[in-house]
Amino acid sequence: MGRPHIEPYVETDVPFRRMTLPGFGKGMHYKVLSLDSDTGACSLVVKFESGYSLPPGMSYTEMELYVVEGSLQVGDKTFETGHYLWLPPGVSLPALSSPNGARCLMFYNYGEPSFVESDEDHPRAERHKMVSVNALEDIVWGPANVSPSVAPGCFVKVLKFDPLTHGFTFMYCMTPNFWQDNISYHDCMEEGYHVWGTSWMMQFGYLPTGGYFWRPPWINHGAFQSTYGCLAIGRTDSQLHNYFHFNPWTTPEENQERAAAQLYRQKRNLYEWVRAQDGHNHPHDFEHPHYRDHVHHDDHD
Amino acid sequence: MAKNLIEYEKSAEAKQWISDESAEQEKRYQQIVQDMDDLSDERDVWVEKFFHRIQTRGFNVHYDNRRQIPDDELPTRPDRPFKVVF
Ligand SMILES: [Fe+2]
Repeated sequence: MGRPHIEPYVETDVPFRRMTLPGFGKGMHYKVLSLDSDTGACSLVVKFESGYSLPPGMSYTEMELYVVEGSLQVGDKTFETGHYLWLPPGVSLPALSSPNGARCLMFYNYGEPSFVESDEDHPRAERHKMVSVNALEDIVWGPANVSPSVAPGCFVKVLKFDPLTHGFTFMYCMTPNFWQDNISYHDCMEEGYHVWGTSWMMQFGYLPTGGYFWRPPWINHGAFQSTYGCLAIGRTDSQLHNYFHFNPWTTPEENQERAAAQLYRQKRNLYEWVRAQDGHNHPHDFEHPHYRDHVHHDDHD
Repeated sequence: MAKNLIEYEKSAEAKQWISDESAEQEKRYQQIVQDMDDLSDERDVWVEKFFHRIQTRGFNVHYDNRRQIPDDELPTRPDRPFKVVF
């Protein structure tokens, strides 16, 4: 059934469990933030003991890693605190070790954590897509580039952007005394983890350091406030559009219908084409002719 | 590649892990539902304050564009439980 709505969840006082899945070796501990009970896809907080080491290897699913605290040695590179890695499936990562210990977030987006020892890429690996960057030092804060936009004082750094879905992974921060008086929802899923600081939402109350949410589409969140500011990492699975309103009591179904009504107003020509008189037309992307295979599952043509 | 996934056969350990962790997650989810229920009275006060702010300081339409919401536009509470977790 995919992942449930996990919000809010604060992991700080929850004990770690020893990682026992094949391949990961000794000295890796985790807490599940959210999990897809069908595929095993999950978001984890991971603690690597000092002295942990892993040989070169790959994952069957894409994996995202963010170093919250401490550092990792990956081949000849050091991933300091704030390092972000997006590893496409099948890309072999050099030997990984943690001489002094580290606490990380790890996102396995399409399957349970898997590790296959290999110093070569899988034939289907797309190494050119890999992203490896220090999110704190190598990228500057900018305004969220969306309309309608979040209020002044919320800044974003884009870490990974998918040109096909416009899904992205990003750091976000709120300045001290941030406030935004509207209620938002999206037509994509949204995930967030507070690396530092506290924010407040009218539905869920205060989200402190170590606070987390996995929020399926259409769910109301906001108004928003942060007294002393916060630093967080966020992800979506497709384009983030802010549907703002001020009715706290709407349901996800009502929000979805309203989003469709907005689509009708704002993308009228496209809406009319997709929703043809005699059924509906099918999207086809000349640049990505096979992409429809996974956006349209119906049997008819 | 449609999904960023290379198809593979899940091991028995992996299936067991997913099933164990799903059961743990279900407990966490129920706790969240309970906690959010417990917040109901406080949340009602927050909603009242929110309505006051959007009528005075204004509702954030886009970035720093704000609009003061007139009385007759404020929503009325429907006759159903106020759910925030779905
Ligand atoms: Fe949001």
